[in-house]
Amino acid sequence: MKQLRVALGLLIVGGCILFACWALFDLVRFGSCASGGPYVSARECAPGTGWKIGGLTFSIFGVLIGVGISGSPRVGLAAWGWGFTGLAATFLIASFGPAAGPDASAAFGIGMGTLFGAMGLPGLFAAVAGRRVARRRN
Amino acid sequence: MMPIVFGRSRDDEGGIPGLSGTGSFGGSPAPSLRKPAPGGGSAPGSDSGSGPQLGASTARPWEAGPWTIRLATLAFFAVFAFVFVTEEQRRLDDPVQKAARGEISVVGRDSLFDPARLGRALAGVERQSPRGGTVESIRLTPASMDVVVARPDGAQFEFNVDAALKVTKDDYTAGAPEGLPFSRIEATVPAKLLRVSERKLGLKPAHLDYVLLNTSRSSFDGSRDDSWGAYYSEPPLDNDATAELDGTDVRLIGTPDAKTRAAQRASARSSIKSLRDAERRVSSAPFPNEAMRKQSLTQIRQALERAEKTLQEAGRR
Repeated sequence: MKQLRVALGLLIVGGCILFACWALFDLVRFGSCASGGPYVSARECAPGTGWKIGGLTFSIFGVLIGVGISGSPRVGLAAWGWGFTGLAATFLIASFGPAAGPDASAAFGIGMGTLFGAMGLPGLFAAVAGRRVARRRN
Repeated sequence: MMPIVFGRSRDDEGGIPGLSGTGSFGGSPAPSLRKPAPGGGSAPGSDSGSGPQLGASTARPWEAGPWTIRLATLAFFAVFAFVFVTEEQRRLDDPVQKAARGEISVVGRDSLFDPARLGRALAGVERQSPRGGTVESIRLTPASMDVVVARPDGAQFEFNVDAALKVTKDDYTAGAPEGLPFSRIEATVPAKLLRVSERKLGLKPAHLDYVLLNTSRSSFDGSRDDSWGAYYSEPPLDNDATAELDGTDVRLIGTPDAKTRAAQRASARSSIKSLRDAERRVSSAPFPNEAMRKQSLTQIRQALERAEKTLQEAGRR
């Protein structure tokens, strides 16, 4: 039962983070846009922009629910590491990926990548280095 | 040294009945280092088991093993890499994304100036056009095409075709339909116009802004007055070319068309013939004085020079 809970929790956490990263990547790549209202938009948003933004928000709750289901602090730590490292990678790919457009901002990619990388990597290492931590603790 | 079970010291497991021997996710079953406590499977953190009793205040929540997390982390980043590599490849191959990155050039494979692609784009617009609709204008760039189509009752619609040949339709305005049926538009003409403009006028395709099809009727006799125009950003002057609907008679905008040039040539030849005749007569005819003859001959020769220049220019253009 515990294994099932951990598996389910990790699956939900991983899925939600992956979705959040993909949605954010798509939004960052598309850039600023507007849709609806009484004005004519200079740049109409791509179809599905609304549900990507909504999904991005709800995926954060999904991650928390996944960690709760697993009942394991280490899964929480992994979620932190995956989430912020994934976001760092997302911003870097969005700015420097092979399909990045000429208007992709290198400063934005480096700034966000560094910030989220600095937040996520320690958590990621702590989550995967559980044995050593346990040894040192003892 | 403390024995390690699933990445945790044996001590850590105290008070969590049944954890030993339960195995680790993603890893091979780990050896049980001690006898499973009776009542295993109780809730995490529960102190109801009969194992070593810890107080509720010291009980730790049940933990996933580090190998579980390691393998899950590997799986997560593998899926992450797969998703993003696939996504990037899709974007690299997508003509619309290529257009956004400025990778579609006039002569490129994905360009709408390619006759086959332009033909498909026009067919796509025609399919969505109202029955009996006429093409009022076309604005063509390597990555997009805007077509204004008029319904016989005067309602007009604007169709946009993107680099992936996706057609979108919008209401436009209203006006007397003066356009051409789709069958009269030749998809090979824009490419031909650009080729001839480069060869004849020195206008480089790399400097092209857009190509335009204008359709109209003459206000004098109602005859058709349709033309293609190619507009370039370089050089600063003399940078717009025009051609007939079938792509012939490529010339700079503002210069006379073939029909006008033919008329100019005929007129110049007739003038030259008359002036040479006049020159011969003046040379042989008796004049009261020689000065008057000289003056007349000078004037005739000047007019002859002008006519020859006109003939030369009308022939060259």
